[in-house]
Amino acid sequence: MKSVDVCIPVLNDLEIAYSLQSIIDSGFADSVVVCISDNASENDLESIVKNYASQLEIVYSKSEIRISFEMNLLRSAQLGTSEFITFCGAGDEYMGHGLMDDVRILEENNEFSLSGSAQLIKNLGVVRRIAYGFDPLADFDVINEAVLLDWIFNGPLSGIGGWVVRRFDLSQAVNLVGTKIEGTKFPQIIFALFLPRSGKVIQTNSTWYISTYEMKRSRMRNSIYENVDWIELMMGISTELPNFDRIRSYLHKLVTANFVGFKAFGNQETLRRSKCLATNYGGLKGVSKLIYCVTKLVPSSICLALVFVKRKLLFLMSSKVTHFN
Amino acid sequence: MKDEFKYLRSRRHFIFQILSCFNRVIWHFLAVRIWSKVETITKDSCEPAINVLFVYRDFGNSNLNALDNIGLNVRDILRDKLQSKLNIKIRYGNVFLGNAKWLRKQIEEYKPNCLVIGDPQLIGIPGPFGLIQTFLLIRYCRTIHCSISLLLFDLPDPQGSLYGSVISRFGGKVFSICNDQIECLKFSNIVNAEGPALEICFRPKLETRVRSQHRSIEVHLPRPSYSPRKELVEIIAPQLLSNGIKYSTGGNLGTLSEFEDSLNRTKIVVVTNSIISDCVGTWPLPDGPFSHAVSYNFEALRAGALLLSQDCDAVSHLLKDGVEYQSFSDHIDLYRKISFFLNNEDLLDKIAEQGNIKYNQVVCQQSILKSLLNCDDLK
Repeated sequence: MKSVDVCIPVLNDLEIAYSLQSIIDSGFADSVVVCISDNASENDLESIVKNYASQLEIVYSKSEIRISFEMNLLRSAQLGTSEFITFCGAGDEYMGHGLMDDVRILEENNEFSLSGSAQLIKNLGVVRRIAYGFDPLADFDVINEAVLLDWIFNGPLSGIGGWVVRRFDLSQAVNLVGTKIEGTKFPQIIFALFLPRSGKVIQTNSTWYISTYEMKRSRMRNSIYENVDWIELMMGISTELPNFDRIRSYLHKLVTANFVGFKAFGNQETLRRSKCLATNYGGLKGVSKLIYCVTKLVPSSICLALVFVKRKLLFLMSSKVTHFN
Repeated sequence: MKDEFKYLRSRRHFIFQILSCFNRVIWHFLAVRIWSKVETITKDSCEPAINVLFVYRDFGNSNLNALDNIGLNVRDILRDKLQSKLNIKIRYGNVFLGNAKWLRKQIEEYKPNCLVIGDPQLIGIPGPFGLIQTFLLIRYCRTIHCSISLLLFDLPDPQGSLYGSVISRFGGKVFSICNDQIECLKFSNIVNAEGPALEICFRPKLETRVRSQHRSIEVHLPRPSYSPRKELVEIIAPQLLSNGIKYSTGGNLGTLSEFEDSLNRTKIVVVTNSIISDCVGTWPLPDGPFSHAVSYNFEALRAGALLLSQDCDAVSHLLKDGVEYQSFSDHIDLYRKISFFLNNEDLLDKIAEQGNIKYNQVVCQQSILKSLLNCDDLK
């Protein structure tokens, strides 16, 4: 029986050819099962996958109806039966034997549930490495929950690939979160949040995953709008579950950072929503509260001044406009 | 190739900085908190356009063909309505002052119930005075029961963004040709914008698509006129040459018909969607977007070639990646995909054909123009 399933959720992604080729080139094709969950693609992905069927053990399943990305990700995991799972974005690539080294460490240490490695991000021809304070002499580091939080929002776990997890532990996390995973956009973060409950998380000293299409992902992650939506959802999930105070406090920090860092400057809608969110989950404090007061008071005083300067202009800006044709 | 936009970019950058700073202050301290209460005012009070006035400027820029097509498309939609009128008025020359006065004169003359403005420069001059001119235009249109629609070709244009955000909050409609609704709200504070509206700038092409085996040019690269597009072409062109791939480059062809003819003979058309460098990203310049759906995307689909388009939210909003077009992220990815498709011409043909079908579908349907004219019920 193969030890690890490489699970690839796809939707019209012709780039899957690159991922499959990289598994062959990396030399661990004999040790993995590639599980491809096709989310009702409209192009002929199957013919591309067939080209690799002689060199790889592939389980390909095409859904009849379109499902969400999160559900397709889970579906890809359900296609396999191996003890360990690693996800792969269509178009992302593997290098060297690092994946198998991670699997070996997990096999030898039952108390570990998840291993993450440094990733290479290839974007616009520039390659950079994502990794956090690592002891270069050790094969792996056990990381605590505080580091993990930073790690999953900004580090290797912010992508769907580059980490290995036990199938049993992933199932536990999925059972805990249930259908709330749908719409979260970054389901891997949900897994990572809930996995430490069942076992320790380690960071390994190898780089074996190349995220080729980081651009789309980072654009999504960095978007303030997406973040506000996402944080709102995450706060909702964490509130319903017990013993997640640390996660809630981290999310609260992310919201207030919108004020302090002036990230929402010029975008009142984001500012307003961030404020509502922060108020609902503990309120604004310190500098963020001061900034909010200023943004609220200054417009009011300008409007009052305008009343005296030009009544007509105020009329135009009035909220009493009821129709406009 | 000479960087012909260098002068334009440096001047534009300076104006951008001043206007963007002004925009940010206005937006932050005055805008949404007061006006957000009137965001929902228009939806139910729209009447079908029966007297349309379409105004734009002609100063020899590249948008003229698109504006002509918009006029023709509006005319097609209104044709079924017997008493509908379309008046097109063009302001000639790159005139800086007097545009607002000229626009007011046209409105007084034609008394439209639907005003379509093809260029924000016609609303007013840049800066605070232009803001007052926008208010005056809105007030006048309200008195004669005329709806306002503003077409924006480039979203990061601070003047268009400011006027668009004001007009959208007073019930007017804003149509962004190159960007989507979320980008309009996020980067220009325009509410309820529609876009990307590339389809309104094009006419249907009903000729049968030529299969790729009958096309003699393998790849068409964009015109290497400014950064960051220039760098991409400079890297990829030698690679194609050394591998014996026959390519042509934009900017070398004289007329529009020659350009279209060249695309009709091309298998793969590469399109970059990056905004010109230095226009966005650093405060007080807009935070984005860094890409927009340029019209060449539709030119490629119209010609029936495979569209290889740089990653862009607006393009993926319009077309299905991997089905109707194929996206690429950088020059390495681009070269790999060109090689892949030239070795898989069946797949190339399938995607190109789907893209061509989608083009004709959206251009014939003209759903955005129909919503602009409040004629959704018309065929």
